Amino acid sequence: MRSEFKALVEALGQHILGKPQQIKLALTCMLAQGHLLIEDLPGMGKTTLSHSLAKLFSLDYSRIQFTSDLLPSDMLGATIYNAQNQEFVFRAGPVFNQLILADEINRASPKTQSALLEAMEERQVSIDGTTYPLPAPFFVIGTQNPTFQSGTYPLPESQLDRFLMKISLGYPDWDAERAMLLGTNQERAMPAMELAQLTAWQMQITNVHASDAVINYILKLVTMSRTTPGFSHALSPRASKALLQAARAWAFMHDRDYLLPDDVQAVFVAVAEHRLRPAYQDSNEDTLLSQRLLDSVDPLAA
Amino acid sequence: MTRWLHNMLSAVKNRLLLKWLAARIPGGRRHSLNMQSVFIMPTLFGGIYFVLCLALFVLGTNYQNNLLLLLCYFFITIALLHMFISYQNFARLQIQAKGISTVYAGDDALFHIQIASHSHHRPSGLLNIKWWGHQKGIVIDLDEDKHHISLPRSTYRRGVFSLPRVTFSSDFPLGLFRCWTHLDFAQPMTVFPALEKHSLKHIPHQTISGDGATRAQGLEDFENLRTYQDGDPIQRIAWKSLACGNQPMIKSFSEPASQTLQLSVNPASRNLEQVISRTAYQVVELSRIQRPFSLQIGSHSYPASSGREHRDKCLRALSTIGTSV
Amino acid sequence: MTAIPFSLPTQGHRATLILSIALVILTLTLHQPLKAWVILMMLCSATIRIYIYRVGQTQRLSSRLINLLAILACISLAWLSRQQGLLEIMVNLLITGCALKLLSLRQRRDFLQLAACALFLVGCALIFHQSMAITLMLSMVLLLIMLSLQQLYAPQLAFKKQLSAILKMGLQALPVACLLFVVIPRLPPLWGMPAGKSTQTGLSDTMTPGDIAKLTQSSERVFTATFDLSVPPPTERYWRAMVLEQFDGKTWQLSPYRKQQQMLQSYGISRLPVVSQSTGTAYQLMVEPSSQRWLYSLNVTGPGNDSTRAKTQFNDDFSVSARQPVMSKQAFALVSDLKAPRPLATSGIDSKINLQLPAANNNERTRRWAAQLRARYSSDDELADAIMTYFANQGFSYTLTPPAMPANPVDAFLFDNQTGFCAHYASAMAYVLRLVGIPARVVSGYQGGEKLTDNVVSIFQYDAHAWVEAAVDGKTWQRFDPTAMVALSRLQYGFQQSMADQHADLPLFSRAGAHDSVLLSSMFSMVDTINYQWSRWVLGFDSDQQDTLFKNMLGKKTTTTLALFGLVILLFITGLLALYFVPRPAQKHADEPQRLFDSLALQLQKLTGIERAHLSARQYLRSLQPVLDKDAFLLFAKFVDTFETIRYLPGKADRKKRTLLRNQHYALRKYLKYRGKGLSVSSTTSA
Repeated sequence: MRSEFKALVEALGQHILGKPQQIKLALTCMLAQGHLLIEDLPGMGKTTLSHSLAKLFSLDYSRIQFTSDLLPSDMLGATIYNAQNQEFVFRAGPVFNQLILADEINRASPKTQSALLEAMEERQVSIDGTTYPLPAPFFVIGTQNPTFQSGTYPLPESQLDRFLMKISLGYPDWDAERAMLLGTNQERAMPAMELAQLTAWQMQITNVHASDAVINYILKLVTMSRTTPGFSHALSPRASKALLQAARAWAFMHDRDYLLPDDVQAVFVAVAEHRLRPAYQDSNEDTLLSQRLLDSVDPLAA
Repeated sequence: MTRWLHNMLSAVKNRLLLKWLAARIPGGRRHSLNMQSVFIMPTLFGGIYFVLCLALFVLGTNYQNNLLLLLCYFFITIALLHMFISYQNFARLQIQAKGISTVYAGDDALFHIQIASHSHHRPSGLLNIKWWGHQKGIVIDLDEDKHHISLPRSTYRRGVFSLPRVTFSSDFPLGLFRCWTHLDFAQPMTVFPALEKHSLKHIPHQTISGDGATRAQGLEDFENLRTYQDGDPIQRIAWKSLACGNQPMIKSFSEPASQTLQLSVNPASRNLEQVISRTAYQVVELSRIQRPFSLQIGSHSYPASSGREHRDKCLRALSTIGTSV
Repeated sequence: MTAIPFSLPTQGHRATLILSIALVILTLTLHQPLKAWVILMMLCSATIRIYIYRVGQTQRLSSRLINLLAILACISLAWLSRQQGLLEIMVNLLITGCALKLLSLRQRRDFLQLAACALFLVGCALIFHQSMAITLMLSMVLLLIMLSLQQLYAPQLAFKKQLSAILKMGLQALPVACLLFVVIPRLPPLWGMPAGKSTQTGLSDTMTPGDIAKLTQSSERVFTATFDLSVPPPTERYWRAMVLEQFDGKTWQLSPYRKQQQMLQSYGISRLPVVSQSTGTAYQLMVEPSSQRWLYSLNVTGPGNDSTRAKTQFNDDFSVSARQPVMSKQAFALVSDLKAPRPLATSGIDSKINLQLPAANNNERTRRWAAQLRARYSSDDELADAIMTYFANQGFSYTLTPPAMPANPVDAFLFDNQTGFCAHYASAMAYVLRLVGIPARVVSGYQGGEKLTDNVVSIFQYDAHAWVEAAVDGKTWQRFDPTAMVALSRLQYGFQQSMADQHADLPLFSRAGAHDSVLLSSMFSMVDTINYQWSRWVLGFDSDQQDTLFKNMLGKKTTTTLALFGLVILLFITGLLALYFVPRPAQKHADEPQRLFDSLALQLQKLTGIERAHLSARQYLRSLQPVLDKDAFLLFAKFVDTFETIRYLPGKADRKKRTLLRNQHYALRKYLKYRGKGLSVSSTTSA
């Protein structure tokens, strides 16, 4: 792994203890210019993670708490009549920030959800016929509660697809939580990264070489999800693109300028799981759908 | 008498054959077909074809007709090539077991198989798949882009069984020869007991913390109305009371907390199967409504818990009562 | 997925469509022995099949109707069986059966029966036709049948792939089949086969003047003769077929005595005329199927080799016949002495038969004329010459369309019409000679023929001819050709030129008409040459040629050489099969790294018990780390590194890296094989 990233992961690890894999995935997601969905119970450190990320790269940060009565304009902003100047002024909403934590995204009404997701995809906002571009690195961390609760609107599949990855932090292990409680290593300073550095990295990711063998592997995985019975929703071409992009970021983070099947495997569960739906509720199938796909494709067979 | 003898002979034959097969094609999750595991013999049509070749030879000789002889040799060569082609095609198969769905006795379990090729060329033609000794099975076309196959297996009684061998056969390309193999996927099949509807009442409680007075919020029993607070779910507003002009009220429900239900099965019971079926039903129902329960089978007990894992563990235990496993 | 009890789908089922097309082509190719209604029936059921293919089955034919049709067909075939040979009946029956089965095709079993039937019918068609064009046609039918079978067993395979697979299979089979054809010893006929009745072609064994005119119009080939040296001049090429010695005033036919003799001979060994191989003219006849037994020979003829000796019979009247009717193209090797005299039988039976006169008292004028001749010439020689000159001087003419001469045909020809063709001349002359007491008979056969090359001559039906043999000196038979007196050109230049003025009668594109156009004739001669080569090398390849071939290749025939030869042939076939089915090394090379990796993984699995399953190279390496010893692990790590470089790094993997990979592969293999077990100590102890 690149030393820069090692330092980053370590720095973030001081705030979110015992979750290096998730931190790496979150970083990968940022490098790949994708949005991140965190599915977790409250209090697991979602906010901490996004806050640390923002701080790390010195990004403008805002948090939007989604509720059922949140309107699109609350989030995007609105045109307001300024009586002094006698003109309409656009008042940018919280979405005009570089890093946004969209908390409990499935609590908002579908209307608001789709407004956010549209902004995520287009990286611009249209209000009253005027288009306002969103800031340059635009990174959304959405969170949602895992269990079905009353008063929630689960995101439709088409919109889940907009998130590059879905991860969950989960409970920390014994030692990590103990260290957290004791508050031992809180003190080390965060290495402040230049924003330009992040942009430069994002540029470099496209240069990571993907050989035919790896491309074939990705294609096989995607095709397998389409031909296998047991998936009501298979992986879309957008998913395969996302997979390649994420794998490239992962490889780049590990200081390689070429892809290995291992890179694809490392990001596959995070990229693919939320895009898949089982066709039937299997009574005793506990493995993840994406893991099943990984198990049925040989990464070496050309 | 002769029937009895015949049955016994076929049973002996069957057992010898299985023994030989076990040595020749050992079980495993994944099989790549090769010389060791593929059998090839002429089909009935192939037999007729060879008779045809003989007839052509006789005709050709008797009429001293060279073209007929040439045709006869051509046919024989085609048969020879056919043998190689069908083997080559069949041996490209790579078959992997993908697990078997667990069902309740009486339902059809689905055995999932994945078919792939371990060479550049894909195998083609129709493939027959059936259980060992069965007359009927399913036919799939290897040229279709389908890699997953579910082979149904009917179940009659509870227990853990090892799956019998699966027979794969193919007559590709011209049907003169048949390639086949009997594969053992070494997969255990768990069949849960059949469910028999039974009341959930009258299950003995076991109280853990001493007093059963504490009740936790739940979904089961209606408890009382309380005033509405922000954030309460809208579905639970007592509309009737609201319509009367009262303050908005919320219906609240509760269920007994820290009480576990205790299911037990006595393996020595006379109507054991019925008891098992009823208990299985109770296990399933209690898991559905997320009530913790414990299970006692003879001297062995499973501590109280809830959730799917617990349910499956209990059902598995129930299905193996009386068997040595 | 479909249920197993296999019933064929109707609409869009390509296998049935292809099979029905194959059957139609087969039926049309085989039309000759078939009844018209049988052909019609097949066409109808194929049309119904095509309709069903396009539209789907709207209503099912009841099996009762089909059974009824079958019974009707059987009855009518049984009724017709009196006119036809067994073979024709069988073919008719098979085609009828196929047509009915095609109608009621429902299950896979039906389909297979139909396909087997069709395969057999292809064989039957080869009994009736052997020309190259028909053979090519039938190979196509064969291809179609195979295609339909494959379509049955792999319905979803792309059509292009199906076609190429079948073509490949056919092409692969061809060399092996040809090899077997050349090497497997020919057996003599196992038993006599039923011959057809209606298919008999060529000369008939009776000659009533008027018959041969029809033959002359036909341009079918009768036989081809290949001489060892050059072809004798046309005047020597009198191909004797039958000797007709019984005359009833109108018709000449085989004498009953000869028939009896031939019958007796066919059970015993025939007496062979002595013809020296050195002075005789050796040639090979390639006889087209005629369903008749007689063969064609020049003057005095003996067998050219042993196989011909076994299958032919040499008669007392110097004619040659086959022991079995010629049902398919066959070769006969013969040797003729063109100069040898043909003596009369010492028993006097020859002169007795050939002085026989019709019992009926017709041809009054001829008899009177004969008596006059007898009175005028005392010498038999002079008398015969006188008859010949009579034909030359009395204004006789040659025509293919003589008027009918129903009563007293010889009188009418000699004195009234004085026009006719060879049969008239020969018949008249032989009769007159008998009247004057000279033994005489009519020989029917062919004359001349068309030279293909310097030593090959083809004889067609229009070369049919009849001439006279008379024993003027009472001891030997002499040939007289009265036709030559009036139409010498026919004798010298063959039928084609001499008949130039009558060519209007001939069809435009027939071979007989082709001699006008250079293009047509050169085309015909090219086709002839190809057909000739086809006949000579494929159809005429018999046990003698096989023997010669073996002799040339093996030298002496001993058990050892034969065994060795058999072994070589077997090895050759095995080699061919290996060539077909062992994967090409080129393909291996394309994915060499994968192959090397797989072989290592297999070896490591055997050693450690850890399967690669679906792990990537790197993951497998990691999973092996705890169990492998340090050296083995390092070696494998290096290998994996190079493997990944080749596989996943940009740029083409160059030769150097491949060599490196191969070396690392070899090193690890060697290490695992020779140096200890490769397992780490801790794991061995713990295990």
